Amino acid sequence: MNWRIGISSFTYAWFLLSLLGPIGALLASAVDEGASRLWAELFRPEALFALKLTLLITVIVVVINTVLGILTALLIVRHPFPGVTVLNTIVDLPFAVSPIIAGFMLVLLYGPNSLIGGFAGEMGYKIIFALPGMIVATLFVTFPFMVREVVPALQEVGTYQEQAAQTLGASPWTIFWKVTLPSIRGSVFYGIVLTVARSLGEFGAVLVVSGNLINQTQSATLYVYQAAADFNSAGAYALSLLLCATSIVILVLMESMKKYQEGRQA
Amino acid sequence: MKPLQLSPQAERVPLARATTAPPMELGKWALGSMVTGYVLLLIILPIGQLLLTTLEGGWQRFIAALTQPHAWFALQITLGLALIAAVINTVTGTVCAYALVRYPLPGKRVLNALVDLPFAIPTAVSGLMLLMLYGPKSWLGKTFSLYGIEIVYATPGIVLAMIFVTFPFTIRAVQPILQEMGQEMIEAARTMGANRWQVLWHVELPTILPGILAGFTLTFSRALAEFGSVVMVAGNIPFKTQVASVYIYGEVENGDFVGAGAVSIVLLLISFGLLLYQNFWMKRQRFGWWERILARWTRRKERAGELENWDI
Amino acid sequence: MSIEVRNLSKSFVDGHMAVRGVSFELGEGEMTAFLGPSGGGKTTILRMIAGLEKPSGGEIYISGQRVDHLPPQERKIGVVFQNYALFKHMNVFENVAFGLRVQKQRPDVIQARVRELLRRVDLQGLEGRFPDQLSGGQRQRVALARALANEPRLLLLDEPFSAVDAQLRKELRSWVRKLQQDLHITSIFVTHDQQEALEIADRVVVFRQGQLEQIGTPEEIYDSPDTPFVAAFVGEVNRYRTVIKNGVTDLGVLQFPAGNVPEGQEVVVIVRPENVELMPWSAAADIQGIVLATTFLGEFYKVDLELADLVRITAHVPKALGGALREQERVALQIKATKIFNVA
Repeated sequence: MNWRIGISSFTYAWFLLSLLGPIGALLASAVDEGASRLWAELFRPEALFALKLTLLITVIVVVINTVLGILTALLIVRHPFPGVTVLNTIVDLPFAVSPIIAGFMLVLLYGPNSLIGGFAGEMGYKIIFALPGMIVATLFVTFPFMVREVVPALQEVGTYQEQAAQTLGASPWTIFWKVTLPSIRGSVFYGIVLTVARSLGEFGAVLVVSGNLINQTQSATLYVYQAAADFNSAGAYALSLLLCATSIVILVLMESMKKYQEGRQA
Repeated sequence: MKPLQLSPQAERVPLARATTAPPMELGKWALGSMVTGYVLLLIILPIGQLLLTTLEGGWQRFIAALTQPHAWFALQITLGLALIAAVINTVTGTVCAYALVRYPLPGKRVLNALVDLPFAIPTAVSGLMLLMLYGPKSWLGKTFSLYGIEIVYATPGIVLAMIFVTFPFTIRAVQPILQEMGQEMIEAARTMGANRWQVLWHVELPTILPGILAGFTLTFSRALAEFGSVVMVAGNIPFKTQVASVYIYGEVENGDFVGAGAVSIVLLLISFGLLLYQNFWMKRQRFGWWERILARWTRRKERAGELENWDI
Repeated sequence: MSIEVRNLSKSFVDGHMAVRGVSFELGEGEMTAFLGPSGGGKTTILRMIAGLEKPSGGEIYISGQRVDHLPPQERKIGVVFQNYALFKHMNVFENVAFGLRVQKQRPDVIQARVRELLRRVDLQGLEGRFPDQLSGGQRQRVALARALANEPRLLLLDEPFSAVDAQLRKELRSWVRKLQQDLHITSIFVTHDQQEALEIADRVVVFRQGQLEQIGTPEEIYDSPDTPFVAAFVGEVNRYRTVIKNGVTDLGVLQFPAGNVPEGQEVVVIVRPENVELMPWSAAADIQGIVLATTFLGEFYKVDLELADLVRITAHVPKALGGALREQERVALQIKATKIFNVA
């Protein structure tokens, strides 16, 4: 019994100390500033711009990585080729790469002095220190999420349902939309949620490739960073709270998804 | 249902082959090249470019950039602090996972949902939170500074930031294994007369060990890579709080790509090594080495005669 | 719809030859069983007929049309998979309607056809259920209805009864048989259960190690097997390996006439237990034996006997007789039928 009380109290204490402490501190500091002040901060043009930019990047990244993540998973599971294990490992690499290094590598490859970046520059396109670079950086750090969610789902579903659809006369296209995709939709949704969360919150990689230019390449997290550095604490709190609120909504979504999936399995 | 003629139908074959087989193959090729192209542009070429840029100047230049005092210090302090954070979070995470699975904690659902919060909160915001909790203006910060303990803009702040952002890893790695394990194994051990400690030591720990190791590996490599929260909490003080990722950022801003690249490559090698270990070695080993140690230990005891009446 | 397979073979990427040059022809409206041990290649052949596996060689004709290079979509066949492969995210109605929707049928046609099919398989009222809300038997009937929706010219069933328990299996197979006869649809089912094959098939094809061992009616397969393997696979046998000596089998007291088998030929002799008749002992009997053990098997007794020269034999005897036998009791035997195979 003592054992149980000891472990339980330690768990509560640890959650309180290392999780709720910091979150509470932010809330308390924000409350000190007053709600009206924070509300006003949200509507500063720079803050609004940063939020819109983050939203735009997130939408584009989610679309691209959902499509390519599903395609990659299909390739890995349904059409394995020699060397598929290599691809499988490469997919995980972004998890192992520090976001700062990710941004740095993209600067090297797509920067104004690089082969690709130079060529794009001559054509009149800027990649690094501009929106495309921020999108590519976010694509990089979020690529594994969808693949990692969909690969096990495809493996679990197996090919028999697809074969049944084949014998019933469905074309590969119909089979994908009517059989394969619906049977993995839970995992796809989960992958989207994770990608959204990471895209909204990405900081390091975006910082390096963006140049952090106000009203040009300053996303929401960069705005928080800048505001904190400039001792504009109200501005930092306002956007932080908004981002936190979004995170909590995402978390609740994820939890309800889990419950939904558990319910289906039961 | 009319019986069909054999010969005219048989002539259809080449047509069928021509119209149906190639699109399938074509689709597979299109899929393959699309995915390969994407992975190439997004992941492989950037890594290649990093290696190229850094190693262009030869090994000596690479070694020089690495052993440059700022860089060398940043690497050392990063490894050391990440190790501390990983050890703390592995231990606490295992205990928390145990409590979450085994005990009927009030508010368990909420706790369980909270675990993932650090994944969902942007790292810059996490940094801001820690700054508010331990910063010079907070009462905790003031209290600590009364006793001469610096947290923010010092190494404890870095460890706290690393702990916060890696909070979920060990819990989430251990939890499912404990859940899957269920009560049967423990009950079986109990019926054979094992006490609480023996159950923990011989049954539960060996079973969840792969999860603990996975949690440690993930925590360590994530802590090595952490930037956003660390830069907010610890600042960028050379020879004091300048961790590797912050150092790299500074060198990139200064345009010293070789300096940034050298440290990046070392960090990448460590992370890739851990990733490969995680993906291949550990999956194959499973319970291997712990079991072997336990077996050796048991055999030694047996030789000493302690367990002789266990023989049947 | 008749089906013909010519010299069909299949080798997998790992070099394993699953099917080696199989040829056969099945008649219209027949129910055929592919029977054999696992690894015999029967499922592979079924999957090649369905188009789910590409043959390495040979030809497949359905109603005279060569189909081996057609994708499954264009073969007009219905398949019931071993695990049913129902679409988990669709309810019963949508599962059955899938093939019709793919063909872009009018909604009212689909509605009517699905209702008719569900009525046939006795699942009215369950249209809205999802597969995980159905019992094993119900799932199988949904799979059957779905396979029949597009009026296939051929129905293929892969181990259709293996996923349900013994009691239900018996009910289901007579029900499937009846449905097949009502619809008069050419059908093939794969099984490793010889009783199942003999009970409901018009014709049985026995496969072994990728080769066709024998094809025939259940009676032919059981009563006149072509090989010792077929004889042993479709029922219990006493199996002896010996040579022909002086025009009879050299098995001590079991001297069966060799017929036209030449002298000195190595042979395998097969005696089914039900063809061994036991009689009260008499000193004049040609074959005499001692009861070693009797086992009650419900409908009959299985009796293990030892004959002179240590030859052993198993007999199936009626209850009335078997119950009265004691161990070590001496009896007289009569062998009513045997089968002699030359050893190659």
